[in-house]
Amino acid sequence: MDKILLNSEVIIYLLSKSLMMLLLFVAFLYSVVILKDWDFNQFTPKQFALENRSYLVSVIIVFALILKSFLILYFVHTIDALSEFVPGAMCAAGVIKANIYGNYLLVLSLASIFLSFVWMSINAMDIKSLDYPYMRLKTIFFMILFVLLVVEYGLDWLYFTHIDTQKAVSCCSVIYGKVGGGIPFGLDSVKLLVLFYLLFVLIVLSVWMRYVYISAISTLMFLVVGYYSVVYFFGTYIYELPTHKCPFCMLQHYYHYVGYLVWGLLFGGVFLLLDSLIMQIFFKEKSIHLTKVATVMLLLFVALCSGYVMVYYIKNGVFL
Amino acid sequence: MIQLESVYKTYWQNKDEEFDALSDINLTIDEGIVVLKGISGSGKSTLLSLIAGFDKPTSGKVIVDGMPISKLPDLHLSAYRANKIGFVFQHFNLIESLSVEENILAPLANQDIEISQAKTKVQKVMQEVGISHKAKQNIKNLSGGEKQRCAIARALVGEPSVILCDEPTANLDRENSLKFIEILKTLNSSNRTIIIATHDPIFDDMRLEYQTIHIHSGKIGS
Repeated sequence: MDKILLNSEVIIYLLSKSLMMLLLFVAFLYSVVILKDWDFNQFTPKQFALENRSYLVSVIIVFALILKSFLILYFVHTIDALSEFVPGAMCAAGVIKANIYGNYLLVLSLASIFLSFVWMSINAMDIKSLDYPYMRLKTIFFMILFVLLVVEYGLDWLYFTHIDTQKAVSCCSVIYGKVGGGIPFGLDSVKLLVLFYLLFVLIVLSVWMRYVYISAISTLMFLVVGYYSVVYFFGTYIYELPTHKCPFCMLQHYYHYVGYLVWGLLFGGVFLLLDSLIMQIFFKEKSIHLTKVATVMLLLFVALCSGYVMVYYIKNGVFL
Repeated sequence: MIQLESVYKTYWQNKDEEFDALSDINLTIDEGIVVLKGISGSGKSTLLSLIAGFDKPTSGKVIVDGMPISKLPDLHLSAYRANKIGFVFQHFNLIESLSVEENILAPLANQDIEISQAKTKVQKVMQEVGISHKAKQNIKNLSGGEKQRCAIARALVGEPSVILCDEPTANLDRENSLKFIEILKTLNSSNRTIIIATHDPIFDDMRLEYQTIHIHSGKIGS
């Protein structure tokens, strides 16, 4: 455990996370006061002070949440760096499974980033308005998000303090190799690919024709299908090895860190698009810019994945 | 129209240095020239900064053309200042590294306006205040009176409905102060509200129609 906690990446990660939580804790305390005393129709010293403070609080929260969004990249880099201390681990896939907290932590981190995006969109709408119409909503939302982030912070500590450097773990070659099982939902590679491209076309068409509910459902499905497509199909072209089915190895320098781009584009694109759709469905706010950015990110994701397959075929004349 | 209702402004609230700059200000100001008179530290500049949206009151309402600006979020307050307010500062606050023309152009930089259109506006206000001949000159080569005219042109270029001047003649000699008042007279003919905070007696000597408001220790006097 000492080897883990004294690792420089872990120290930097936990310190950054602690700083982020400290900022959010201060914002949480002020949020309680804002929620209790806010009344925009008042012209009293208390209300003026709250209005000034609410702006400061939202700046603090936005800063902390942006920091949090970038910290997930550092988290992945950190667990990848820890693979040299954990027996059997060759990449982050082994380290994340070193104890029961790893996967929960990763999923919760991704979920909280998505919710952070939604909070920041509500906040942007609120400060653009003349009378802070979403002040109560965004304050309550932040408080719920804060509880989630506290749980995540607790999991961070539990995870890093419970990595056993004496116990061997199974890594990607065992987890994702042929022995470890195939594609879920009874799909094969061809069906998975058909679904992958069909869903992408459906997203582009529904966004273009402004069918928000179809966009939302297809985007959610694309997140799942996109993930499995990368792990079970496109990833094998990145590794140029049909049995190498790992979501983490592509984050290493052997593969030019392309995993950060692949996963960043998929999760970033899906989260931003869902965020923009939520704004349209619940707040009737059409953020064309956000939708365009998200769609372009997904387009780049599909192009990048497909590019690896095409380049492999051009170079070798066969598919894997 | 500018309305202030029960406006208070306290600096260093809840600290040992707590200081009431304005207390229970109730005012209605229509179009025309208004001169705020009072000694240094009486609250004139604070009142101007509240109307300009540079600062917010501790409590009370500041309403400009029906808009409660004391409640505006920062984003809207910037737009309010850009579109409605022209401010002439005591020390001019010009950008020394820029020319006269560029200083006057600066407030239009964030506005959705063609550059050719912006330059036409700049030419027009420079002529209005008589500074066209110094358009390409750097600010540091100007005299006090010329700097003042440049500052007025900058305040006017956005065609604001409210012009606020904080001690505009404090750094000018008598001749330039008189020129400034002449410019004020021409501005008064258009539908604007011009508020001047000053303790300069020169305004009493001039034939200038204006409403006078006296401020003493942060309170409106007679």
